[in-house]
Parts: sequence; C-alpha cells; structure tokens
Amino acid sequence: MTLLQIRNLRIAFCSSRQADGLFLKSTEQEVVHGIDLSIGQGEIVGLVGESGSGKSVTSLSVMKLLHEEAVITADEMTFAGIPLLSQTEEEWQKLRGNRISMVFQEPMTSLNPVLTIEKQVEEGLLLHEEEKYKSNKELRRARVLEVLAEAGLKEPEELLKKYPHQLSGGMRQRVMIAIAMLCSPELLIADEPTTALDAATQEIILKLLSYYSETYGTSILFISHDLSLVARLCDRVVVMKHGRVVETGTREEIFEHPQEEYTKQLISAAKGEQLAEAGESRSGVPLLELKHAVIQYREKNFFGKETVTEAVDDVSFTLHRGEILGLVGESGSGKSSLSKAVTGLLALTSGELVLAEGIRRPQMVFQDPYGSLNPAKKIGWILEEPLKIHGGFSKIERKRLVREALKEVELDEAYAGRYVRELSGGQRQRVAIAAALIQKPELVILDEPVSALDVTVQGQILELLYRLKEEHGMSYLFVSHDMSVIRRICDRVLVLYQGKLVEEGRTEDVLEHPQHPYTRELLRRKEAE
Amino acid sequence: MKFIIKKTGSLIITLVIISFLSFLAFSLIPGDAAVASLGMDATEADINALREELGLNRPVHVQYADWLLSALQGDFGVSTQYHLPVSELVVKRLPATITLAVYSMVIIILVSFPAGLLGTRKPNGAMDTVMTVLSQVGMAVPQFFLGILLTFFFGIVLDWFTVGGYVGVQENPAGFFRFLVLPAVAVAVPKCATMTRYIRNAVVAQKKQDYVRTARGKGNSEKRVLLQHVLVNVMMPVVTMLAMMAADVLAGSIVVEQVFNIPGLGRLLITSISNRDYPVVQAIVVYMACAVVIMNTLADIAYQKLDPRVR
Repeated sequence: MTLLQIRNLRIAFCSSRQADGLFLKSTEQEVVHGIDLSIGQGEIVGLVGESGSGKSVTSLSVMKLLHEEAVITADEMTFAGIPLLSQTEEEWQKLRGNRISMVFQEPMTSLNPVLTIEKQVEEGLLLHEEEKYKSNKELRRARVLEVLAEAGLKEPEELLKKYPHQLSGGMRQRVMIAIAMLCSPELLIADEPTTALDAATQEIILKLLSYYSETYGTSILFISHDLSLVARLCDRVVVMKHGRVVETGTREEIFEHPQEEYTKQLISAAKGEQLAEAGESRSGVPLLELKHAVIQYREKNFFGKETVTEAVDDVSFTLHRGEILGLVGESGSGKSSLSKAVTGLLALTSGELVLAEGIRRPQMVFQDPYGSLNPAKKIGWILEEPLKIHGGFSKIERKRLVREALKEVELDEAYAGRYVRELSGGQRQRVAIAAALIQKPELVILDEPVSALDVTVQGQILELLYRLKEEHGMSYLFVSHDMSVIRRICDRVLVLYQGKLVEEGRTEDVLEHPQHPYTRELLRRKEAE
Repeated sequence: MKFIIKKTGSLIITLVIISFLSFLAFSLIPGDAAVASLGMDATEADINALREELGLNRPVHVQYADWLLSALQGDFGVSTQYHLPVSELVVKRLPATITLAVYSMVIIILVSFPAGLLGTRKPNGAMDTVMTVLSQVGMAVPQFFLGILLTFFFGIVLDWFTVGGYVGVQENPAGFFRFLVLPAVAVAVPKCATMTRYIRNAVVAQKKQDYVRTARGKGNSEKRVLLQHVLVNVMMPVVTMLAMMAADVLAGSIVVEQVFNIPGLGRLLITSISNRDYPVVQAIVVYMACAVVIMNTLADIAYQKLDPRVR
C-alpha cells in the first residue's frame, strides 16, 4: 500500500524583491519542476542528488517545514489518504512529529542549545500522546529512557540532564532519531543524517534506521548525496537533478543497469575513478624546492614563559614544473603551515625555500570559498581587485580579463554581476579558481579545494583544474586529506605526519604499496567510508 | 558559586580602579576646592591656608588613600557649595532617581517584550513594518521634547497632575509615586524603542536557526515554538542589553529631571559640575561606576545561569 503519493510537485520561492518603480516586486523562482514520488508502507526510498537538486526542499515540503515564501503546488500529494496541501496549520501540527517526523543533517544545530536532552525528547509526548503523559512526569521519563535506549544510547539516565554541546556528534544524532521515533511515526524523513558524522558512526546510524524499519514497519525517505550509503540501505532509489527526477528504480536497477548518463556519473564518482590522462606529466625542471624546512610557533604566556610548538619538522621536497604534487595529512599534521609558508604567508623558522627564477607569486585556493570571498562585493569586483592592486591594466582591459577568467572556469559572463551568496558551492569554487588564475601564476596551492563539495561537483572541479593546468602549463601543490581525490589527480604524493615527511613517491606506488604505517592507516580509513 | 565569588572580586578591583582614575582626573583639573570656595578675589595666602586645612597640599595618592578610607565608612567629604556632608546630599537625591529608574525599567520590560514579538510572526509583514516605524520614531524623538509633550498633554490638557508639582517621598508618598510615572515614561520611550527593535531582531535571527525547524517538526504550534524554544535563546543577549539600560537609568536622567523639575542625581550632578563641587561630583562618579559594574556583573551571572554552554 502506498503511504505517500506525490504527483507533479512544484515548489517555487518568492526570492528576490526588486524595486519596480515605487514598489517592491517579488519574483518567483521555481526550484522543483514537477516531480513524482511515492513511498510504500514499510519501504525505504533513497532520494539522491547533489546540493541544489531540490531533494531537501522536496523532503521539507512533505512536512510543510519550508518557510512561508515557498509556493507548493501538486496534482496529488497525499499521506495515508490525507490530502496534504489542504491541511490547516492545526492539522499539520497533529501530523508533524506524530505520524511524520524528520531527522536533519547537523544534529548540533538541530537541537536547542539551551534545553536539556530530557526536555527536548519528552516534548512530543506532551504534544501528541495520551493525557496520562501530561500529568505524570515519571511516566514521561520512563518513555524517554526507553526511546533513548532503543536508539542505542548507553546509560540514558546520565543524558537526561545534559545539554547538546556535552554530547558527541554521533550521540546527538541518536538523540535526534529518538525524538523522531518517540511517537512511532509511519514515515521518517532522514535528510543527510550521516553526512556530518565519521565513517564508523555513519554505519551505526544506517543500522539503526534499518532496525526501525524492520521492527516497526516505519517507511523511510532517506535523502543523501552519497550513493554508497543509499546502496546499502534503500529498496528503491530516486535520482534528482536540477529540480527534476532523472531516474527511478529499484536498488538493483539503478546500480546494476543505470539508464541515464547522470546516474552513471554519480556512480562512477562514488567509485573515484582516476582522471584519464593524469599520472605522467613531470618535466623534471624544479619550480620550487624546500630544504630542511622547520616551522615553529612561539607563544609567550602572561609571565613571559615561552612555549614552542613545532608544526613542521625538517621537511624537504621538490615540486617540478607541470606537476601536481599531493600533500596528504590530517588536521594538525602541519600541511596548512607548510602551504602557507610556500605562498609566503608564513616565514620559515629555519631552512630554505627556493623558487625558480622569475616565477610569479604563487596563488592559493582555499577549502571554503564562501569564507574567503568578500560577501559584500560582486564577483566581477572580486576578480578585478588583484589586477587593480598590481596595476598596469586599463579599466577595459581589466573587464576583458575578468570575462576571460570566467570563461576559463566555465562560468557565464553574467556571473560578474552576482554576489557570492547567489552561487552554489561548486560555482563559488570556480570563482575562487578564477581569482587565482587571473594573475597568471605558475604555481597554485590548492588547500582542500574540493572537500566541501558533492562528489560529482568534486569530479567537475578536478577535471577543470586538470584542464587548466594542461592548458596553462601550471603546477599545483594539492593539499588534501582525501585519498580518493589524491588518487584521481596527483602525479606524486607526500605524506605528512606530525610535522614530518613520512612517505614520498608516485601516487600509484604510494597508494598501492604504502610503506609507512600511517599511510596504511589513512588508506584503511578511506576504505571504511 | 565559585563564579560568583570570582565576579565579585573583579567587581571590587574595577571599582577601586575607577574611583582612583576619577580622583586623579579631578586633581589634574586646574582650580581646586580651595579656589572654588574662596572665589577669585581671595589672596594667595588665604588659599594656601585653606589648602593646608583641607589637605590639598599632600601628594595625590595620599589624598586618595585618605578619601578611600573615609569613603568606605560612608564619609565622602563636605560639599563646597552647600557645606553639607556629600553622603547626606546624595542620599537625599537617591529616592527620586532610583524610583524613576525602577519605573522606567518596568515600563521597558513590560512594553518591549510584547512589542518586540508582535512583528516576528511574519518578518517584513504589515505588523512588522508598523512596529519598525514606531520604534524608529521612538528612538528619534528627543527626550526633552517628549517631556514637554507629555507635560502639556497630561498636565495642561487633561490636568491629571500639577506641572512641576514634585513632592518628596517623606511628605507625600502617594503623590511622589504618582508624579514620577510620567517622567518615567519620558525616560523609557527611547529605550523601549531600542529594546523592541533589539528583541525583534534577535527573535527573527533565532527563528532562522535549525533547532526552530526541529521544534516545528515535532508538531509545536508557532506560539509554543516562540515561547518554549526561541525565547530562552533570545534571553541571553537581551539580558545583557537590559543590564546596560538599567545602569544608564540608574545614573539619573539630566534632561528629564530638568524638564519635570525633579531633584534627582542628574540635576545634582549638573549643579555640582558648574560650581566645581568636586567632592559631590566624585561621589556621583563612583555611584555611577558602581551602577554600571554591578549591573554588568548581574548580567554575567544571569547569562551564566541561562546558557549551559558557558557554565
């Protein structure tokens, strides 16, 4: 039997208010263009797509949790026979948290920071359950302890008086799931519930979700950008792109015989295939040499007592012209200090940095372009700024260079007039790359350039970087903690551990035959994901 | 508890530093109490004799230690213009100023919370726009003008109270408390406007947080989301703001006291400054510093109680 039936769902936002004469005119922007979705009783359906595909918006519309500017229309939208679109706000309140509930991506911000766990979990009992709970605190507490224990939280009594910030990420997500399951809903919507968690915890949360589905026959709508998770959990898969459904099918159909090009792309991106040409592009001409580099941070406390932290300890390497050199390590391994030193943002405590003669200043691209691009300025201004600072260009020339740079990163000229917040994560990273490129550098330091992006966008950005390198004869120092990204793009790789270089070699050799135990550990962890 | 003790410790240190700095500032201003009380025509010898008598020839730190010791016993010296003990003068002015402060704080709290929440149901909607305009007006109106307006309307048109008819609390307690209502409104209006705006912005910002979506997802009504979830989070910045306002009104309003002819601290301060009555000014500065520091400490303690994350 079908629990949720959606036909031709359209969602639009009254987004930008623009001045039209004296009055503000709001323009509607449709983000979901008529999709069909159905979930059977007890079924687990995976909704897959990248950020901006409309999958989260769709799931929020099922509970009418979108903000008021959203305009939702559909030919049919029923839950257990109830027409959802004609529900009054009071009727919605009886459904939400009771018959349909939701788990969100970021459990830290999704829980109220100043209320105790007990208060947040028991709330559903006060709102939806029988009268007996309202007057009896003991009864409520017993039920709260029961759901917390069921969500796999050990010693739930200890948790009652705690606050969200005192719990680990995995525990918070279990609390969120306990809240969602409190009133035994028929439909559970899980929006990227494991994205913020580490691999081991992801696994546990997946098991927990299938446990609820088996035990209570709960239907689950599982939203994710990660196909490998969907493959393990879901009976049926719906693939979305740009607000439309691209492909629908059973798990076997989608993963064994994908029909659409986009689905195939998603699957290959999830497997992390190597860029075709990468691997052999060393010229042997050194562009940058680092000799016995040491970076120390000195900190004087109030009494003048000095503490020295060694971030980088005697590291030497050479980066050749035309090469993509990977720098791998966890946070705290010294890779950020090292990349800052190479761009000249940080001085070496001792050792030597030799750049090839006449080389232009290395440029840097950061992980989070949202934080590193000025939000108050238009893209065109941001791209033009370095040209203004270094001078020597007329206004017309600068505009032309901006247009060219945008074209290089496959963005339309019109983007020059937009703000950073109007762009998607991938587009922002393209702008950050354009900003580095406009100064025609020979060496670019890429600090986790794709870590914040979805897998297919990751693939697109990596391909872009590779093409630009080939066309302009640049070299990259590619900093990352992600072995599968390193595998796809780097010629050689350096492994940094606690400030020391522990392994160095051709990417293939290092990844296939790791020598150092730390490298093996990194690879093992990647596989576990 | 340990936190409260620590806070109290730093409170005392802050007060000592402020009182010393203000003492130092007054000793640096040319023309001391001796000159002020004898006038410009006095001979050098007379002035010197009086300086000797008042102890003004001693080094600043000695004078300060002396002042601090007596101040701790409640003796702030003698006013040079009224020839009365400073403490007596200040204590006499306190009831009016403190009552005015308490009244206006009550008005601020009672008005700005409901007013601040009024427009948040639909930000930028009709109600919100009305409240925004009202609070802009409230912030923009000068206090003296508001005072005159209130006096004219309630005192002359409606004849609800005698204009300028202030009575002391000892003489006529009922009249005293009734009279101060309108001045309190004049003090409170601009602050209400600021506070309304502040609460409105804080609520609108909090409503965009993820936890609010969770609360709605549980099946809470908008009202319950606001009262059970949003308000606790809004209270933290609001308490800090309220403490700053409380310190401000406790210092007394010079303009409003002038307009309504109330013998409060603000007016005492003005006359003392123009007459170079430094012992009085010094005492009032210390009192104001106390008000600010104590209110901030209370806000810190409240903040700590409200936010589990800083505990």
